[in-house]
Amino acid sequence: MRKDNMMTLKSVGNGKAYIVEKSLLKQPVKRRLEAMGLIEGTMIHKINEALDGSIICIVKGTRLAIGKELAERIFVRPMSASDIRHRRHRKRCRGMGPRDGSGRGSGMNRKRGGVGQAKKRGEAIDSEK
Amino acid sequence: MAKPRKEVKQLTAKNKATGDGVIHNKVNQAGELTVGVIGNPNSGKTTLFNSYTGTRLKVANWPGVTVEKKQGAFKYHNHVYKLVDLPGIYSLTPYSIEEKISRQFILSDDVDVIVDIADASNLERSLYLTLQLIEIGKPVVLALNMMDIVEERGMEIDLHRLHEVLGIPVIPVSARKKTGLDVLMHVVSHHQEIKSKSNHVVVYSDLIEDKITKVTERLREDNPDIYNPRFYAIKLLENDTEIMENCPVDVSGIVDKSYETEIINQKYDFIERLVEEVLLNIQEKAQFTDKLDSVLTHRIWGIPIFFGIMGLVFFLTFTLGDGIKGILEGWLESLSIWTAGGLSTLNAGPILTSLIADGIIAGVGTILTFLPNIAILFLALAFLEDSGYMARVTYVMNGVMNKIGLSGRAFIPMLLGFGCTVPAIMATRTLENERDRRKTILITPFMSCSAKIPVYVLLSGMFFGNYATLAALSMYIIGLVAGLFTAFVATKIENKADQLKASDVKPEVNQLLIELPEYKSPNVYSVLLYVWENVKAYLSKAGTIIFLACVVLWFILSFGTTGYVEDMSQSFGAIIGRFLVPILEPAGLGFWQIGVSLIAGLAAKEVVVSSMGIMFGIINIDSALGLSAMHQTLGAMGFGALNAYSMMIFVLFYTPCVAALAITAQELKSAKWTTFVFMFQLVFAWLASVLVYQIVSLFI
Repeated sequence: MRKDNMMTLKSVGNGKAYIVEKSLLKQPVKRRLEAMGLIEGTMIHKINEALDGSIICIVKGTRLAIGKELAERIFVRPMSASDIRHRRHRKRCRGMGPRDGSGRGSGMNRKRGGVGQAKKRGEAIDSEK
Repeated sequence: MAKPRKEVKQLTAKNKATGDGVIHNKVNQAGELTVGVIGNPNSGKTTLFNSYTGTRLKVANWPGVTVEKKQGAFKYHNHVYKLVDLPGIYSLTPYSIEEKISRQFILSDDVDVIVDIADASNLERSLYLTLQLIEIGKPVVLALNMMDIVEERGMEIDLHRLHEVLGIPVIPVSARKKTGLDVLMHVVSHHQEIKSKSNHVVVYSDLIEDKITKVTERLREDNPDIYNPRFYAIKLLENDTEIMENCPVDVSGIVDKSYETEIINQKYDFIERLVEEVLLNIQEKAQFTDKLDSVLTHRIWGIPIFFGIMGLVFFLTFTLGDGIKGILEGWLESLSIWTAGGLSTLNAGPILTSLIADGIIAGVGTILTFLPNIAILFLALAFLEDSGYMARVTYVMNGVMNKIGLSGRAFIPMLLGFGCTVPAIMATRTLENERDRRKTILITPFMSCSAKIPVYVLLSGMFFGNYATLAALSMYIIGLVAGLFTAFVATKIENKADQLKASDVKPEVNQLLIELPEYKSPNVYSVLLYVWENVKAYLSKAGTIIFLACVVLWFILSFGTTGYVEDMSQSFGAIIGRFLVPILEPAGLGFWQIGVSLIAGLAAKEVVVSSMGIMFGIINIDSALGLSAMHQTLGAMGFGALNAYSMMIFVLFYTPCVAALAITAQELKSAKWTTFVFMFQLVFAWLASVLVYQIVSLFI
């Protein structure tokens, strides 16, 4: 499964955080995983692997048990320094728009395609390098 | 079905959360209001529902406990609310049967207000569904459940900002501690008026927004009075098959591919920024769960630990239960003496005396003495379910289950089957694949349900002396192994059939995918409730089906072609039983009495024991005296330990009770498959008991 830098959720070791790069799953299971929060660019902690190859990981604060064949099709990459920086940066900047208190979500919706909306997260990381 | 909750005290808080300052009184005229309770699995919907309606629907700590839509009504401020509890869903695109139920209901016109229960300790994932619900355009109220846990962890949620951004009322509640419930219903009653002005919370990228606008325009042209074109446009861009069928609009040129992934990602982008803003003091959490998991889901020790736990559960059921049973037996004894005395002073006729003493007390009373065993079993199962271990079992057993062609997820119904087959078969709805469901339904009855306990206790106690518990425990192991083997063979047959149809199809095993909830110490109330509900079900079964079966049994055993007969071998029952003798002979069960009790067992498995009590004229067959009396009678008939074991095997495998059969038919939705399951279990039981009897006979 290992190809250049590409690692799968199955092949990596326990205990470290990774970023989901890509999943080569078919519908409807891909959709299901996405609804559970496992989307591209999200941080994932693998915490356990069973003898049969199924794994337990934490995504967005939730523990998921995932079968071996699914885990083999989810590609991850290690957290880079820029990912960590990016996360901190995010926190400082608070991309939500002004707290103008004018009611019903307007603060967030005023600008169409505000920070991070037009850009995918991957691109944002690149631009920081 | 629900008793109305007593009127809640007058509220002083005004409708702050909607923020519009307008007090709506329309609900006065509207009368009934239908409120759909929706949310992620295991977020506490049923707990909330129970708090409002006073019902006692089952709650536990694993995803997928609720698989059915349940309604309950209650009165609040003189208005009737119809609350609908729905199976949990992660998104509005359904994955398995029970999720389809939820989506269909939420999209239907029946819902006036949607109450979205979000697990506040898991805000990020919960909000994904919330955003989808807002897009539908119906009034949505967000109930943030488990706020107590959030506070315990020292986290804070900026509720005001959350409300501001989402544009819907946000109410903190704790369904378990019953806080915030009054405010929630208050808001619901006012909020129904507000047709969500702002179903436009998430703004997608320019590309997608343009497409949404174009699709919306086309929808409006074709369908001027469409309720919420934006929602349908988004679903069409996601290539949602159901919406595409129901809403036939030409979107060629606009929707060139599925934009689902983009739409999901952008929703999560939005949520991530929102959560960063509203969630304060995020804590590294759940070290307890991690520590426990490193043992319970250990790659090597996980399976032995699971079997150890289950072994302990059944060991306690049989040994601990027996102690308490002695007390109940004493009561039964004095009851029967007292009744017999009472009846003779009343000068009751011999037939009536016989009906009450030989029929009802011998049949029903015996069953009641097994109550301690049943209660202990359900207490143990409640601990497993409420602690959070249940979901782990799917992970631990996944390897084994994959080998037999099922996902680890199918193990939940099997485990529930140790309690009662009926809810276990219902639980197969969470399996997304039809074949997996059928196989699981086929093998779930092989997991010995609580009704089989009296049979095992009686027969093993009578013939196996010190090894009685061991003999009873062996039934659980044999049942499990046979179930796994059956599924394995079924999978092999399916794969062969697939290969015959198309050579390029390769067998596909359904993969495990389940959320593991955090461990928590079982809630005393919900555990006791669970035990009580099951004990109550057992009691009411004893009062209805078992009672009825005993009366019928007494009748066919007391009357023959010549009228009332003293000698049972002249009765109708004996005539019926003798038909089965040649069939049951090779299994060592060729006695008309056994035939009758096995037929009677179709009503409920406990009746096998009742019928023996009636037939052998022993009031309390599992008392020491009764046991030895019956042992002698059976021994004189030539019925020994091996016959008893063969009978236990037969009872383990043969067709479950009528209730289980009815639920099988309901869930399989096919007369053909139901008949097959029925026949299969009957034939399997016969073959297994014949095999055991014949092989062991060779050695002794």
